[in-house]
Amino acid sequence: MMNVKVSRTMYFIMIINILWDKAIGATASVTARAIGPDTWISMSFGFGAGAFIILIVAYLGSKFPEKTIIKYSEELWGKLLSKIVGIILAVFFIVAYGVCANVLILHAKEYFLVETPFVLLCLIFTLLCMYAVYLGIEVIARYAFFGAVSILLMTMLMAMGSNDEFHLNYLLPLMDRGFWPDIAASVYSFGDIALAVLAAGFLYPMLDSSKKSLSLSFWAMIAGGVAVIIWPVIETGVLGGDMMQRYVFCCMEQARATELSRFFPRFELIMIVLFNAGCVVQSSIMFYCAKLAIREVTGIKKDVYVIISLAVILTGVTYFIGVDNNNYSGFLAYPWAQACAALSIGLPFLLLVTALARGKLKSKKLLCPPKNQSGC
Amino acid sequence: MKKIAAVVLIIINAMLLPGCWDMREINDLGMVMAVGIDKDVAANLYIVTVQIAKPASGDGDKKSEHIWVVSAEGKTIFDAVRNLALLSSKRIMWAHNNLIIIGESVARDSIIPVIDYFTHNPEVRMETFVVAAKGDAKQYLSSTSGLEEIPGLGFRDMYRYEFLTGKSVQSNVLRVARRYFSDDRQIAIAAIDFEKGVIKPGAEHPESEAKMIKLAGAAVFNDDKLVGWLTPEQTRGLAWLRNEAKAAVVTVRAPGNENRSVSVETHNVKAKIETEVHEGIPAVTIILSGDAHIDEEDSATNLSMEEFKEIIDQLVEAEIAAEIKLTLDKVQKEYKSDVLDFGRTIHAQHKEEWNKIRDQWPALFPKVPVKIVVNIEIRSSTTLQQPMKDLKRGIGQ
Repeated sequence: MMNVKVSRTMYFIMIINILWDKAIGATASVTARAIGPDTWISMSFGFGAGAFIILIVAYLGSKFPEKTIIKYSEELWGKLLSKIVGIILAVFFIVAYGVCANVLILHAKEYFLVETPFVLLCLIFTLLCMYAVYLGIEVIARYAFFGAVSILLMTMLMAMGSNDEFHLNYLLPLMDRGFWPDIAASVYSFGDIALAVLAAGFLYPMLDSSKKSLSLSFWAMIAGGVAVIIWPVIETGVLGGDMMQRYVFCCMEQARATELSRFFPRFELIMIVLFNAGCVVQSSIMFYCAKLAIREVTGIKKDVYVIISLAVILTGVTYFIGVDNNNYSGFLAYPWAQACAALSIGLPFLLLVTALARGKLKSKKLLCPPKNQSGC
Repeated sequence: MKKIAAVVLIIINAMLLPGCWDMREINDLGMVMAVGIDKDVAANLYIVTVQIAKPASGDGDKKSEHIWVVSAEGKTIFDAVRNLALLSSKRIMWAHNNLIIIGESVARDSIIPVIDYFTHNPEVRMETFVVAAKGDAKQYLSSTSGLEEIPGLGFRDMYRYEFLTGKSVQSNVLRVARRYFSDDRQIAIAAIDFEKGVIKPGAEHPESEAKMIKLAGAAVFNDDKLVGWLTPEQTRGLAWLRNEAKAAVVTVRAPGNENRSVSVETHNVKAKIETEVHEGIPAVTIILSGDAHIDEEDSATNLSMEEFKEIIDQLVEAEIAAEIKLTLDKVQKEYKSDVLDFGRTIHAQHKEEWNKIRDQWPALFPKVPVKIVVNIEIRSSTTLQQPMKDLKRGIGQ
């Protein structure tokens, strides 16, 4: 039974925060290296597919109310397999934390705090996320509102400041490399989609059951996807596909090319100020989900023991993933994206097939909101 | 236990979070206003010259210099920049740099190091203007700019208003890098030269004293190397095609009087490039459209305003077409460099055909037939209802 409850809006906003920060820069750069100016098309395919995959997780969550993905995998596959699922998810969220944390840490290290020891940035950021996790998911969810407002502000300001250098022509020809290569390159978007899909396996049961809705997850993924796709569209129109692929984070190069006016010629610091809220939310949720997975696998009751031990592990993981930015970007391209795609598509699909085969979906009614609310 | 943990956390945070590692006090910084890059090709050394703003009191002391110009050498640009520390009492900071001047020696050798260093360096803004110097970049950095105490700021503002003539090109770090990394476009960078004979008030021999920088057309590159220069007139042909001539003045002969002129100011001029590819042979049609206003007539005429506008309209269209033709002859036939974006347009409009001709494009480009269509509409004769008429001699009656 989940004691913590989050509202529909909190859940919606959290999904957007989970998707956004890494996708606009790191994923866009990795995708651009494969597909050039078609990055935004390829990422659109990815997020479109992601919306249907998260629908499966939400559907399963509705059929097993109050249970996390690990708990209902136990009901479907037995204790041993559910332990394996739990271990896989714990490892996934630990690495996912390292990947997400490095988005902000590497921005800070490469553009602002170049002389600060990298390990110190990893430690401070992890301490911050540890505090957020200690306070709980409701606090993280509330902070996600700041993240959502920052996303909106930052995107608007960036679009305004890029107007002079934006050329629609650079987005042409559409599907320059062809339809299938674009589809193939959408695998890189799963590095972000998987975070939301698998986190939904833990967050969805926290929704107040009277307010559950399948469409909520779907539309959260679509909204997050749209918020993300605006960036590669503008990045391609300003930097061009050939230039985007040079950088670890093309979003920061986009910020370097953004000039709000003669009086605000630099956008980088504005970007980082607005960027950090979403990044803290994203990383904290990964930390939180890793904590839940470890608790469910080990059965440890005391949160604080898991949080402190995890903080030590996560600092180390973050350091080793990001200490060489080329290795970090290479890791995102392979094998991280492929592993994310396999896990985020494979696990919900196998669970769904098992639930169907064992008739687990027939016995329980999908929980719908009251008549005066939309959903289902 | 909780209190002890809180105290420990506060102490750790107080020690770690002040961020002293990257602390840089403003009085320790030497803010670069403009930079020039030259190369001693024989010794394979880069020469970096920076113009640094000197902190000064606001007491209006006109005798003190407002800038400090210093040079250093190195095997790479970064090496040379770091060697500036041997001469400078302050740490070099690029965040306020306004201008990058590429010396002719570097431009003819390769501009890859310049593009790489300045796109690599996170302190440099992508909007920093880039120009190519005729001769050494170094000499331009110690010259004056007229209206500004700090020449770097003067260059920047001069460049900002370049669009008023259309006789230069808009080149900044972003635009140069974007073109360099692209496989279907070439680079053109604004050129600078010295203007002699600028009058300096109060000087005994004004013409000999004042030496100012002026925008002098464009430098055309093929891949990373300078292949030639365009005059301001030839550059304007390029600006028409790249939609960079936003308020250009076009001067044509006055109707019925070869020795007199009429000037019009163009507005909203847009170039549309249409391409077609038949059996691997591309062809280009340039359609330029926009409007203009008559701003000066040097002679009287007996034409009505409508007749006058119609004649001027045709003359302006012919003049713009001639300017574009002049540019085409130079960049397409002589320099063989696709700064006109024909390759990019073919790529965008006919991707299948482009993929077939991509590798032969450098050889095909000089042979591409180009048709020019100019449609300029004279919308008004600014503030005047009638053309100038010489009523005293009865010309206008």
